[in-house]
Amino acid sequence: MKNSVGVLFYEVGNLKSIANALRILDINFELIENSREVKKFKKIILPGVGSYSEAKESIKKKKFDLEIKNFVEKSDNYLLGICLGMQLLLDQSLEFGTTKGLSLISGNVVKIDDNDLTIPNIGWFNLKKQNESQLLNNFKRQELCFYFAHSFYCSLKNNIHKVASIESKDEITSVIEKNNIFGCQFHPEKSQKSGLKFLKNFCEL
Amino acid sequence: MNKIIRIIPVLFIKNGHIVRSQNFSEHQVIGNVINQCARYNSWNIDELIYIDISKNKKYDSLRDDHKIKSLKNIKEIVKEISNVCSTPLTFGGGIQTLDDMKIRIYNGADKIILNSLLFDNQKIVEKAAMTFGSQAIVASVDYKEINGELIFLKDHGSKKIKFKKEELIKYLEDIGVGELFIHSVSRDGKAQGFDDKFCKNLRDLTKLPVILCGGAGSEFDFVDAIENLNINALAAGNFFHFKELSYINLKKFLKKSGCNVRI
Repeated sequence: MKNSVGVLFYEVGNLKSIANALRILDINFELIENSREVKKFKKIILPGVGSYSEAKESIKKKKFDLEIKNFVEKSDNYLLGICLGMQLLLDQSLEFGTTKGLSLISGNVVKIDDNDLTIPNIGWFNLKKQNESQLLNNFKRQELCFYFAHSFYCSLKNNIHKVASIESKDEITSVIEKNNIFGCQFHPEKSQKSGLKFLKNFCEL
Repeated sequence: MNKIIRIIPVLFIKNGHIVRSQNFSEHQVIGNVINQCARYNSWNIDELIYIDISKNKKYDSLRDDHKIKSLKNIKEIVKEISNVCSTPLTFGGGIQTLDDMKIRIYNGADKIILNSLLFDNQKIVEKAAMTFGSQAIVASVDYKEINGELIFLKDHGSKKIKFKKEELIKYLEDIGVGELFIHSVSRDGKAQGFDDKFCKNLRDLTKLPVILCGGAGSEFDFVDAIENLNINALAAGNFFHFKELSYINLKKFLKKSGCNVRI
């Protein structure tokens, strides 16, 4: 399993599309249904679309929360959260009341309030690099265009971990990197060639 | 910030085949569901919308010359389409229950388009917005212009809804809709240009993203709409069906005309 990527399996929208993208990339992957399996992998992907509280509830019920925390303790393990999966890595979300996250990265998930954007924010956006990034370093400028669909975004306590943002007024967090923990707000599985390249970069870390 | 305008092909499925549509009623079979999707995906499209207009929910076996196994139900259709498509997928038509939505979203759809259900059962729509997020719920706003007045419609354009434009938008926002698919029924399949009646001054009324559909006849119609209306996306069906590379050529034309599109 060392070379295989684990995709955490719980009832969320984009699981099937992420599996499709990995299949197109010819990357070995397995869906992780049981939390005990997590420790067998060196790389895992946390998908997510939909409600923060329902997703958190379902992760907790499957005991993924504890296993994810143990997983990232090892510095040569790599975690990627996608969309809601990235938001779950933060301290809490203010979507329909307050819901606690996994607290792997300090910050809150808050409603978008950016005059440049619609709410929800749906569509393709160019990224602006904010800091050195492992996942984006081989991208040409014109390739940095990805598909977003969200109403909330990650407001980080320490912006050093925000490696890329949307080119909007509030520079909405788009890619997070903190040691072995990674996250993206956009949907790489739905972002054509750029998205596939991004996923490939993670799988080849 | 200069926003990127999405250009979205719309495919109509009837009993498992792709058909062309005019005024919501005349249909002609023009292809196989999966092959069409693979073809569009290879053009690096921004997004793809499928609308199922089968009235009897019977999915015929597809023709053998396409070398594709027959697809018996919508679940298989969504699954097979998402296998060949790494772009956002939206499904509409005949969605009545939360299970109908789950079948589509858990098998690869990113968004669902609702029309009649928005008005027939708002509780389900509210629940769907909570479960899948508002960004997954698109409202199809179907309308006709009669004596200068906009009349909103449901049930494949056959029944009127007694809402004025402002009331309708407020209602859709309140039940948790995340995007508007504006569809001028009187322009459907006519190739006379996009209709601006609904979208004019729309930004004073809502922050929701807006897709405008219906009436695309030439590349100039797209430029006109992008320059004059504050919309997020333009969608078209027939425009893309009959010309090879129509999508790629349109994008090149728009870029040259100064429109911000993704190449």
